[in-house]
Amino acid sequence: MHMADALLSPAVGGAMTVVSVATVAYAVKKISKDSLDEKKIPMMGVMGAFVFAAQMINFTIPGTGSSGHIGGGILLAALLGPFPALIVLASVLLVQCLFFADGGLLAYGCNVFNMGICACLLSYKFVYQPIVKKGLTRRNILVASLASSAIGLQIGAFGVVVETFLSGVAELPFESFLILMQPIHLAIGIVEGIVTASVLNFIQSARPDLLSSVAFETKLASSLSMKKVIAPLLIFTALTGGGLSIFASAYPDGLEWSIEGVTGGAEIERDGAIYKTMGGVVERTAFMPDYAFKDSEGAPLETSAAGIVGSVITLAIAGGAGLAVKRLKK
Amino acid sequence: MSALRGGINGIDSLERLAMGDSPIHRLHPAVKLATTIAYVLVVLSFPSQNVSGLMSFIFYPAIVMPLADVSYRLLLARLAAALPFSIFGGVGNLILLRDTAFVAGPFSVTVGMLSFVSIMQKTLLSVLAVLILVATTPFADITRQLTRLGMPNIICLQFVMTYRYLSALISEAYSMFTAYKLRSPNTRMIKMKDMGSFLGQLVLRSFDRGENIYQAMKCRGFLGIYHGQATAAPIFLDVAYSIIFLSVLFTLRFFNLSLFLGGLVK
Repeated sequence: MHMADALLSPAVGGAMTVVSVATVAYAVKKISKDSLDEKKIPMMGVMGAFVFAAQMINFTIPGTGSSGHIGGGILLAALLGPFPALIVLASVLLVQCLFFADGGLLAYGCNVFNMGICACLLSYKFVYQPIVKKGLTRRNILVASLASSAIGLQIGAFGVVVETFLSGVAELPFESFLILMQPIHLAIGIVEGIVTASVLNFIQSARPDLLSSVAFETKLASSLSMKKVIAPLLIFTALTGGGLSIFASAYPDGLEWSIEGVTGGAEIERDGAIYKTMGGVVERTAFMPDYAFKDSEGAPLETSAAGIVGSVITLAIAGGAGLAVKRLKK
Repeated sequence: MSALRGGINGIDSLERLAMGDSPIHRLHPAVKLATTIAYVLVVLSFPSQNVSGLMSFIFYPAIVMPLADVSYRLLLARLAAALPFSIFGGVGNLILLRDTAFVAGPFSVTVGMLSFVSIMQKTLLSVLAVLILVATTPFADITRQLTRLGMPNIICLQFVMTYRYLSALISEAYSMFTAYKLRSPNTRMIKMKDMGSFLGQLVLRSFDRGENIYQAMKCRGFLGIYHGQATAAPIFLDVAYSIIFLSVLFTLRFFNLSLFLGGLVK
């Protein structure tokens, strides 16, 4: 579910970064205020490494022939508490983004939101915790893990769809994207829930103190003010709206074009930004007149020709420059 | 379980690269961080279809990678991680936008093709930029800059410790997996029913590891604060690099070099 940079617009990426950074900052404030014992800091660091290692271990999903791995949001929250879990996941995502190209730099905020905030804060708080508070039985752990993993992933997947749609880079219609994403992530969520439950049940039988200290520790949980969690989401809505309108006015063609694509509306205009901006420069140039580059109606499109030829030249010069640097260094 | 081995090797090779010495390695880490963020933002600000405009941005990886002695193979392998999402999102454009943008001889190029190519270009350029940053800047330097930008101490510690214990935990998982395979021959992966006890054991081991590390850190006088070495202030060369980099970056954002070069060829 890691989002890459390429399908995001700077406005959406920036807005989500603000939301996620604000929420993580709130989590930091929260655990500092609740005087997180310093013992937990190395513990959290090692648990971050654990999530990383756990995500590399694939297991076979019976009856499907496919394999999967855990995401770890609910598992972390159940073991460490929601706020420390969010901080652990945020640092795991940063390491993944920087060293493994898994999720982009601009997409970092989106990924923290979709995979961290949705699971560790929202789903844990509203689904997992109320169920296990009734008692840490095998059944309750199973039901809580299943429901919270599935719901957390559903919200996260919905986040991916909305962020991609608002960015306007991908043309997949909102409904189709939603129909593709939600059922897949429901299946993934159920598998994740079963595995999370079996891990938690194993830990509960081996070290019962670990889970109960988090599940019944009301100090952190009860002071979780949902107003403060939801506030960043509202800021996000405002920022995205504002950001997008700036973006829309800067690139009217791109945005209108994508919205038309999604709604199945008007035809694509051929006088996009690419033609307008450089139109003046190449107005009177003609490339290979008898091997005409024409659009579908037969009108010559010098810009397309110049674009292709120019791109090839640029690529060649860049490659040449690279080779030259390599030679010079030797 | 090649993913586990690959994970350890991947981190090692990037760390070795970051320790190297080249004009790019010698740049101030803050400069590299800021220019990388600016580069990614500018690349992503391009509207879809603008394939020729984005082409000019290949100059950055093309020049910086040989300059910093970063191998293409290593970085291109990393690209594979970012591709599935982009392809998934981009294929829709390829299918849905069938209007012809222009006809190039016998081929008709659709709007969808253009936007698909531009998504792939953005993927390539943004991933390469981030990988160039980590391949030329030691991890501790990146963390220090993030702290200077206001990242709270606890996150910084978290980040450092996750990274530090990554190879330890991956090795642990690897030996557990080897033991599992030896006990259950003819299985390629762990069975789902065994996953609970497998990961549960790994959690308990991680907790124990965390306790030991905490004790060791306590013995060395850890008080909950991460102290990093101070970084030298940027020198003239760093400032010059930033100014040149940003000027070229913004010029290329609004001046389509490829289109200009293509226009010159008559």
